[in-house]
Amino acid sequence: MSPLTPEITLCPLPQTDGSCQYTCPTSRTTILTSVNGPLEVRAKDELPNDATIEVIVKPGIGVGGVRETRLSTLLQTTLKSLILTTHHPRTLIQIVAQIVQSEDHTSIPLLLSPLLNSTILSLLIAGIPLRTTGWSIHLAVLPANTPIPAAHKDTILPNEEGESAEEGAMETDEGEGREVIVRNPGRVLLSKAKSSHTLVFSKEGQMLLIESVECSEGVGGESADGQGWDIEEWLRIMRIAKGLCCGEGVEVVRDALGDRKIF
Amino acid sequence: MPKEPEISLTEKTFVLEALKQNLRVDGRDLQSFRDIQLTFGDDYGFVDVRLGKTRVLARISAEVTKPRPDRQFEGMFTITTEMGPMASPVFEIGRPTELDHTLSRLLEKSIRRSTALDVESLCIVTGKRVWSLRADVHFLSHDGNLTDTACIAVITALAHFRLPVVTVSGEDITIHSVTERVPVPLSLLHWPICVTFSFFGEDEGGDMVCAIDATAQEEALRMGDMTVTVNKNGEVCQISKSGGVAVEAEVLMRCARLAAGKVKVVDKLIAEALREDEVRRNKGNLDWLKEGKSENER
Repeated sequence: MSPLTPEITLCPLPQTDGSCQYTCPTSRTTILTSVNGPLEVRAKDELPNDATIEVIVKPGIGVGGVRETRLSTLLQTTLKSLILTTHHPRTLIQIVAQIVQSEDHTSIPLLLSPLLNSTILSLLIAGIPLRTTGWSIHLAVLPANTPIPAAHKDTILPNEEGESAEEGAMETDEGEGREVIVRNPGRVLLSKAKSSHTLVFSKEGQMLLIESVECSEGVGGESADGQGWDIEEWLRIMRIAKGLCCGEGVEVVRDALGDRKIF
Repeated sequence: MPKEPEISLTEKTFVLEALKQNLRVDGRDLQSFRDIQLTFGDDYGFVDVRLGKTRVLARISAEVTKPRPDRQFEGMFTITTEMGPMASPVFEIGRPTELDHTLSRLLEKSIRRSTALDVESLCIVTGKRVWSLRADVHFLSHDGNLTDTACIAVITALAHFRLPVVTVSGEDITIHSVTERVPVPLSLLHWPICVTFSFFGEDEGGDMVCAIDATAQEEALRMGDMTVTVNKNGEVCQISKSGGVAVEAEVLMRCARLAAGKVKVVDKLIAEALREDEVRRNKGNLDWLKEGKSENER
């Protein structure tokens, strides 16, 4: 098992239809999700031709607020395009995600990608009909010359020109380097980043979610200081994310499900 | 919304008859707990408690706030419990059940009101700055006996938590990070632990059938329940019995005595788990940790 493979436990909660505990290998974010459904739906939420998808995100500390509502909306809209809602009209598919552990309980980028991956796995286990499966990845762009601790060296993604990660990092030492892209960064690395991007791709390579944020910590969000990103850079990130989600992501799902033969 | 599936008459008769003959569906005897498993996380003050299929998480967090004007020497401590559909589809978000209310009330009485945590030790600058501690209890899986599990979880998490060191110079305070100074444990005066008894009516001999650590099935069939909170010294912190079948004083005494015995075992188990975790965290080197202790050996 490579150090970049997430730790996945399927069905940790026997009382639910499907559940999954997911630990991100690098940021150590742990999420527990459960899926119940199809259930009886409240009359006011009932849809005549579709199943209602309800997503509840429960924070590790305190009671749910704006951040949790934001996360659950992002999850709900992404899952709506994955779940075949017309198969169970006038029912409820209830998803509960509990944030178990995180380096920073207040950071949406750190939480979003594990939440999405864990939810998708629990939906598969619960036997909810899905159009396809998806996988999510969180990428951060670090400015050139950022010192990266040796423990996180393997999260650096190689540049597209084919040079290896090591070479790329070396070049930055000489001062003429370019930005470094890392995957699933932890709190420390993310705090140094220029921008953070969470992307979701379906197995077939269709883009399901983009959540890009500029991280200009302490400079009041001014873009003139070289923060943010341009379209070239963003396209590069998209290509990298697509490659990871459709390659590695599909492999991880397949390995986790093992001989359950769900897909 | 979904209701708990009703237990069939055959199943009900079977379980109750078995209990009257001192037998339980899962093979335990009436006076024993299910296996208690404690797992700790990467950070301090986080514990995952499993009691059979019941699973509860507790997390302690601390922040610095202003004290209440009428209690200037005391820090704050709150326990939040919220049941969601994750534990069982019966629980709804934002619509607390009766169990929700009794449980948070019980934890309040058992842990906060029995002054398990010395809130005065949370004071940093009198009237200006105090630590505000919160315990978040998350119910993940409901298979009976949520009260005892939640109590064990909160107590273990409190004992596991470490408060960052603070240095005070005049009005200014500096909070040292975990890497800078060894954080100190909280000053817990005692460990109150709840034991819930379920009553199933009288058997042929006229004795009350009572069992501890009931599963969800047994909870649905019981005629009454009582929670006794005791610490390892055998001091009763609270007894709560709200409604249900009437119980003789003699039975109550017997239950309290049994609870005191059970609590000693649970207490030992928690202490052992904490110690194992401490060893794992420090890879055998415990000397430097001893310096960080604020409480005396009692």
